[in-house]
Amino acid sequence: MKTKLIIILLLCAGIFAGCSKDKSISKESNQVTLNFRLTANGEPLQPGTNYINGSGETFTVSTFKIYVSSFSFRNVGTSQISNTDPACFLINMQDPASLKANVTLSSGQFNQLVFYVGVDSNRNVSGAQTGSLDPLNGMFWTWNTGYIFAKFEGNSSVSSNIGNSFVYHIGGFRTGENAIRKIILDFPGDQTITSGNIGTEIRLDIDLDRWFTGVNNISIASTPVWMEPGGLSLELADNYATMFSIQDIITP
Amino acid sequence: MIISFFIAVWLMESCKKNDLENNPAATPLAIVIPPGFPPISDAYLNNPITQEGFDLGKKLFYDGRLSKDGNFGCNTCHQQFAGFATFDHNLSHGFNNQFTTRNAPALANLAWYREFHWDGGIKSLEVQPLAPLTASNEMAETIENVLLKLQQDEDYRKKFKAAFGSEEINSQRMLKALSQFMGMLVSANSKYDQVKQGKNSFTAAEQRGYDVFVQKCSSCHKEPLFTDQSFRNTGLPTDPYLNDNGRMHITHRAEDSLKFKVPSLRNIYVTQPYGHDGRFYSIGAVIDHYRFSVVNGPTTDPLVKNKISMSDFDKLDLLVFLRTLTDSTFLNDKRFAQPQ
Repeated sequence: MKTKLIIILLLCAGIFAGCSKDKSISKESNQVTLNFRLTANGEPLQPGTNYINGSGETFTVSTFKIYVSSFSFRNVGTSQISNTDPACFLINMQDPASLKANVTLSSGQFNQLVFYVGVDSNRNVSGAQTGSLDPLNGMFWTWNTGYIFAKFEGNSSVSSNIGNSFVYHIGGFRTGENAIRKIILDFPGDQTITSGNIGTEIRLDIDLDRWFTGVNNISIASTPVWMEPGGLSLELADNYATMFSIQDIITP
Repeated sequence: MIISFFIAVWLMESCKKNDLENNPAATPLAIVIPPGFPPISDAYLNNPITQEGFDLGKKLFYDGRLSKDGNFGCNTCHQQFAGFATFDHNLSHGFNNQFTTRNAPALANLAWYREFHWDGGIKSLEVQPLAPLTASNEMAETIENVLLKLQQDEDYRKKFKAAFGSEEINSQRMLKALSQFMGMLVSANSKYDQVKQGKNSFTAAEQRGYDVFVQKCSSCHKEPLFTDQSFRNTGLPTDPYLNDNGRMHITHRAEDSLKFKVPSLRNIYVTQPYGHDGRFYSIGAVIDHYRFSVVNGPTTDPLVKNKISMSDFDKLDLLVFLRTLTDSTFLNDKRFAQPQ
């Protein structure tokens, strides 16, 4: 009887996750809160504060925005996977509310979080959209249809660009220019989430140091500006994929 | 607890693809497929056209307030009497005495197009207006500001409600309404079309010109759209000031260098000047380019590499034929004209 109940609950959760028009989510659905913290040089990110990147360049940050989407859980050992919540979120340094996102995921025994940086190719060409994908958010290339997945702007005395500014608009979804990155994060210390995730909170850090060093060494002096798919967008995509880590999981 | 579930639902809803719903009381409008035309693209499957959406789109299209100083509506560069191109301008005027960098394309039969702009950088007609709206040398506005202006106008609030069911004015509704208007700009009633439907006949010169056209032009300027929507390098020497490498700017592929979208020839007699940078002030000049002046490079199209030869008589007949592509009913259609 208990197994049947769990199966029914799982089915319901699955249906709710895929059927975004259904507004009648019951109390038993499994809501997980994702709590993001932006950091640089080991401390919480503050606009205007001086930081040093891997190339020894001092910089300040004025804008940092990044899309994350399609969250799911999995279990490396058993290969069990949860549903995928298709929602995409725009994390914005200037908007504290955007650092918290809620996803609805089916219950089970999991030890990994899986998600994507960027907006999937389908949504890039689906025309005018709302919410986090509204072009009002300034994350859409008007001359070359597609979303800017990550926007990182600031100032550095080493930058030859106007006003010593540096400007990185990273995106691209076409073959050979794909800046979408799949992120797989182990839960810290072999922790697992079991039988229902209500009230679970996952705390993640986004380490901006790795924007400059994750895989490729990026120097502001060498390239202070990049605003199109391909080229440096691919190098920075590989870098931004390494920025994320799970610091803590709070279960009720 | 309940609030957080509602927030979860709202967040899930917040980046759905295209969930915009029309006002159920709105009157459906259909794009009538002219005889002999292929099916339209899928673009209107999630943006069904209604009279109210069309009317809203039209008001937006003709509204200078979508630009920073109120002077540049879409209609400023897309003039109905010029086939919705910019009459007599190689490049168009934008904000603060600036010019655009390419010739404004004529707007007709857009529901059949897969990509937009000379370099095909735009994949959906819905998002095309974002480019001129926000370009500092064109309309020089921000989306936030445009929406603010619209929200303050009672007539817009009424029209948004009539089209979409509520007075909410957001970017998606604005863009979809514009797309609904533009999708209805169908040009298929020129003399050529009437001949094809058996309702009229070519003069002898027009018929000869049509034969020349079929033989020498129709591979790229394919009927009935008069474009095959491909990107080709037609051997135009690069303007050193504009330095425009065309499609390569979008795809980053060397083989796309200097390739531009084959434009439709419909209404060509009123859409001058011609070419991606409007360098040709007469159709005769374009024809003579193909006859005498093609510059060959690594990406020059094989169909023009050896130039396109024709006698002066052929050229004159061809010009006479091309005149039959002028669709006066389209150019004068009150449905598409500036709202009074």
